[in-house]
Amino acid sequence: MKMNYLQPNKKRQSSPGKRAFRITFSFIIILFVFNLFFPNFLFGSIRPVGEFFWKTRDFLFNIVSGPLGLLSSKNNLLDEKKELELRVSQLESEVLSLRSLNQEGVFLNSILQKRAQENSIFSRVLAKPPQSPFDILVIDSGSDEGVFSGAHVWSNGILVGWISEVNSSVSKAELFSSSKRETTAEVLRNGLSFLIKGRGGGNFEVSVPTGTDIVVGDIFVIPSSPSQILAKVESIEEKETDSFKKLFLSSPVNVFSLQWVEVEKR
Amino acid sequence: MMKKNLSKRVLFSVFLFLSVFFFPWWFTIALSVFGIFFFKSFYEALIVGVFMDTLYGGISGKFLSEHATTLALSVLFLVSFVIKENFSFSK
Repeated sequence: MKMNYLQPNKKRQSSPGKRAFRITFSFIIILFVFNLFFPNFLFGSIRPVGEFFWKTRDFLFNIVSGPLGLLSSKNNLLDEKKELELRVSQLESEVLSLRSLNQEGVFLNSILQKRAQENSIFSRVLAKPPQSPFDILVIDSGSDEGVFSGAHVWSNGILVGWISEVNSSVSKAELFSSSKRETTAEVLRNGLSFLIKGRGGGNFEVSVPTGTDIVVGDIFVIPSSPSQILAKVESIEEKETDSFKKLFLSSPVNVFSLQWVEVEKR
Repeated sequence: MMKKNLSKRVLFSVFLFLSVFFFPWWFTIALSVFGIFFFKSFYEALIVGVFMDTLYGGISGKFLSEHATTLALSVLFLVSFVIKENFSFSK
């Protein structure tokens, strides 16, 4: 006699893909809600972790680079070369800064600029490109030191960006060269004004009508303050048939090697 | 065998997390992509995306651009399930 046995209930389990979709979707919704109602919560929570690891990284780097440098003369030479390159870059920035002051005959402006920068603090750069994918600097100063949102950020007298997010001890500075960021700038030599677009990595671009009086080497400054240098024209792309020519500009500051910046404070 | 796989995953996740602070962004992204395809249900990549966007992202007022890395990794994470069904990657 054939017996029929009841089959055990097979619990229906959702596929891993569907489960992952539900979890991921919920995760994004939660992230959106946090972003909407508590915009500073995430940065405020994660910042201490970031500070700890960035400072640990700098500390370890200082410890390791010393002894290893003694063991390897080739590494010493490479380090020295990097330092000299950085120094050359700093000197070039200072020369540009002085040149702009000379061209404008702006002794008074230099006093005004000095006054503005007297109301500023030096801040260590904790993270910079290429560690950050965007042209964002994370600096070691916050509202406790008087830093405020919108404050200007300088490096060797060159205006590089502004403070976009402030926490108590850490802030984020967005560079003018941040990708797609548009900034109004003026040619120092002839006063022509353009909207230059950031390309990342300290670079900018702008399209101007062919025939516009701009040459390689021209300096772009902030319109309201002629001594605040923004960028310099590095190259011009021009085709005979085009009615526009493309200018490629770069900041005199090497954003990849920034270690200290000056930040405006209240 | 399971313990060995788990310890590999834990070590990889720790290294991925530390790379956010010690290595360039593209290295972290590459590691995340590798983890998504190599490990099963690698949710850690989403957490790393949030860290990167929060620590290094700008303020634009738009959710999509402020969390671009997280969203891109989420999409890749979900797509990986479809790809893995057809190819054998994960452990």
